[in-house]
Amino acid sequence: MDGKQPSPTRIIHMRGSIRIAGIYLILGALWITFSDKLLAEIVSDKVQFAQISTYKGWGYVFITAWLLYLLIENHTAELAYNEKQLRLITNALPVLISYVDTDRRYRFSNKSYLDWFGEAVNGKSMEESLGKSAYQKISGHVDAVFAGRTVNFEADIPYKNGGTRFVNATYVPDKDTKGRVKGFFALVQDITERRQAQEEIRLWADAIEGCAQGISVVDPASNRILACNPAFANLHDYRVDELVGSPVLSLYAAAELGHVRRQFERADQIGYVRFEATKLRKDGSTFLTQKDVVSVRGDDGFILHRVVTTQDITERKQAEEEIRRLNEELEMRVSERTSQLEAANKELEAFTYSVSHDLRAPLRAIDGFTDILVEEYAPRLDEEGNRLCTVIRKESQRMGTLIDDLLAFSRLGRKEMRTEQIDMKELAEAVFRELYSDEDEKRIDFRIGDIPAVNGDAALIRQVWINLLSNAIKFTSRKKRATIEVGWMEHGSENVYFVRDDGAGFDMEYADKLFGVFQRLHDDKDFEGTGVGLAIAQRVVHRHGGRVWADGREGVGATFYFALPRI
Amino acid sequence: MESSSVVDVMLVEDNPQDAELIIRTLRKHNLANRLLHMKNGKDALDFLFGTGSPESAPMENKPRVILLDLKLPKIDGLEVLRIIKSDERTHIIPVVIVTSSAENPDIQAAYNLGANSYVVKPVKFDAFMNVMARLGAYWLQVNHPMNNSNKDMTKY
Repeated sequence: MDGKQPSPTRIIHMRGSIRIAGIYLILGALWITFSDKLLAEIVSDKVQFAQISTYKGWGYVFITAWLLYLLIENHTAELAYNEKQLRLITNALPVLISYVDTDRRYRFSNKSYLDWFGEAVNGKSMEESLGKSAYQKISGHVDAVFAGRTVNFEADIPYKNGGTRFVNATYVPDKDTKGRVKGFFALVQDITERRQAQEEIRLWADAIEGCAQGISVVDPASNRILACNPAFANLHDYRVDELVGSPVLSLYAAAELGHVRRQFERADQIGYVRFEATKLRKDGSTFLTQKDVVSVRGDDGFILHRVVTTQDITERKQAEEEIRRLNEELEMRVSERTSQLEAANKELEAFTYSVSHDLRAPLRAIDGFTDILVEEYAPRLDEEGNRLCTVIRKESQRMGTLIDDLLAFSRLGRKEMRTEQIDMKELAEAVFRELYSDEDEKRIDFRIGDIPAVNGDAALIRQVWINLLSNAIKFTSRKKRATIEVGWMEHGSENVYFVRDDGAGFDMEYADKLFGVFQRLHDDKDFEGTGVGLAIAQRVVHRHGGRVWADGREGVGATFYFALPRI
Repeated sequence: MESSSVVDVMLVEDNPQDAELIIRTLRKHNLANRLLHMKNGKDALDFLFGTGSPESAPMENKPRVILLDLKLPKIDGLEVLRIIKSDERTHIIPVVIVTSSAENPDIQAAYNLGANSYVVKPVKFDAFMNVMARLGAYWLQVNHPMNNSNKDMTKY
C-alpha cells in the first residue's frame, strides 16, 4: 500500500476514472458550446428562448445529479461488496488479522479475534483488549511499526485471557501518499502447538541421536537406509551421512543375505521379528548383532518403512560361550569327580568286603583254638595259663565286635535312602520297649512327649533312636532309679528331638569327641561299648540334612539332640 | 576223598582253621561221620560231576547238604553255587552258604542263585559252635531229603 508506487489495479481504476471524466468534459463542453446555438436556430422568440434555455439548464443539472447519484451508488455498493469479500476471506483464515490506527485502537479485526478473545475488539485499545502484560511485551514492536518499519517477531505472549501463547506476528505499517503512518495491519498466528510438536520432535530426535543402540529406518521397496542414528553408524565404522541412502543389505555378511531377506519379509508380514545376524564394518571385519525389525504400516495398509534396532551382541555371545564352556568343564569335572568317587567307593567296598571275609576268620581261629586249648588241655594249664587264655578269647571277641560295628557304620554311608513320613513318637516308644529289660522297667522312669513326625528313612532313623536310647539305658545302669526323657522343640525350620538321661553324663570338655568313630569317654569296665553308636547316629542325621549335638555334666546326666528338617 | 561211599556233608572251605573248627564242632555232636572236606570249588565240582580223578564219586553220591564258603580259590563260591543249581543233576542238593560276610550284595547274589540258606559265621567261638551244631543237626537230622533210593532204583 505504498502511495508512491500505485498497484496495477489502482492504475486500471485510475484510467477508467480519467476516461469517464474526459467523456464528461467533452460532452459537457459540446453541450455548453452548441446547445444554445442549436436552440437559437429553432427558437427565434427571445422570451421563449430564455425560458427554454432555463429549462435546458435545469435539465442538465438534473441529469448530472442523476448520473452522480448512479455513480456514487454503484461505487458504494462495490465498496460494500469488496469489504464483504475481504471479511469473508479474512474470517476464513486461521490467523488474527487486524488494523490498528494511530490511537492504537482496533479499527478492523477478523473473526479469529472474536474466537480468541471472546469479545469484539473493534474500537477498543490494544492495551485494553490484550491485557497489560501482553501489551507491554509487544509495545516495542508497535512503536517500531509506527516508526514505519515492517515488524516480524515470535514471542510468548501472556494474554489477558487464553493464557500464554507462543505467536508469530507481523506488523505492516499503513502509510498515506506522503509516507505518514496512518495505522498498521497486524497478522498474528498462534504457533504454540506447532512449537510443542516441534519440541517433541526435537526430544525424540535427541533420544534417537543419543541412543546407544543402533537405530535405522529402511525403505521397504528399495532396501535403502532412509535415516540412521550415530550409534548405528558407529557400529559399522561409518558416518551417518555415508550410510543414509545406501543399500542396507550391503552391511550384512554375504552368506546370511538369504536369511536376512526372509526375516525382513516375515517382519513385513507379521509386523515384528527379532533375529541375529553377522554384520560388516567399513573395513570388512564382522560383528554379531541382534536385530529388532518393526515394519510400520501406513493408513492405506502399505508398509511405510522398517524401523530396525541393532545391538552388538558379540560380547554377550562370548559371555554365553564362556558360560557354556565353563558349564561343560564343570560337568566334565563333576563326572571326573564322580568316577573318582565311584572308584573310591568301589575300593571301599572291596576293602569292607575283604575286612568282612578275611579279618574275621583269624579272629575266630584265635578264639576257637584258645577255647579248644582251655577245654582239652585244662589239666596241663595252671591258673595263670587259664587266665591268659581267657584274656586272649575276650580280646579277640572284642576285636570281632569292633569290626562288626565298623562294617555297620561303613554300610550306613552306602545304603540308599528311602524317604517316607515317620511317626517319631511311635518309633521311639517301640525302640525303647525293645531295648529295656524287665529290670530296666522297674528302674527307669521313661517319659515321652508329643514329638512330631518327620520325613526320613525309617530304618536309619530307627537306628538313631536305638543308639541314643540304648546309650541312655546303659549310662543310667548304675543308678537304682533313673529318668529317661524324650522330647522336642522347634528351632527355625527344624524339629529338634532330644533324649535326656540323669545317668553318668560326661565332661563337656570332650563333647566334640563324642561323635567320632571309636571315641569313648568311659572305661570299658564301667560301660561296655565300641564307640560307634553315636558316630552312626551322627552319620544318619547328617545324611538327612540334620545336625547332632550333646549337652552333659559328669555324674549329673546327658542330653543328646538331633535336629531334622521339618516336614 | 577218604570215602567214595555215601557222603552226608560236603564242606567246601579253603581256610584250614575254619574247616578244622567246623569239623571239630560237627564231630563233637556226632554229625561228621560222613563228611567230605573240599579245599576249593574246583575239587567240589569235580567230585559232584565225576569229572576229576578216576576215583571221584559217582553221581549217585549226592551229599545231603553242601556247606559252601564264598571266598574260595580257583572257582569262587558263588560260581560253584551257580553251577550246582543250574545243573539238573545237582540242583536239588541243599546248599548252605557258610561265610564270614554279612554284606548285602553277597547275600542277595547267593539267594538269587538259589542258595537254600545263608549263615554268617560268628566271630565268637561259643556262638560259632552253637550255630554250626544247630546247622548240622537241622540238615542231617531234622530236614527230610528227597529220597535218593528212587533214583537209585532206576539204575537197577
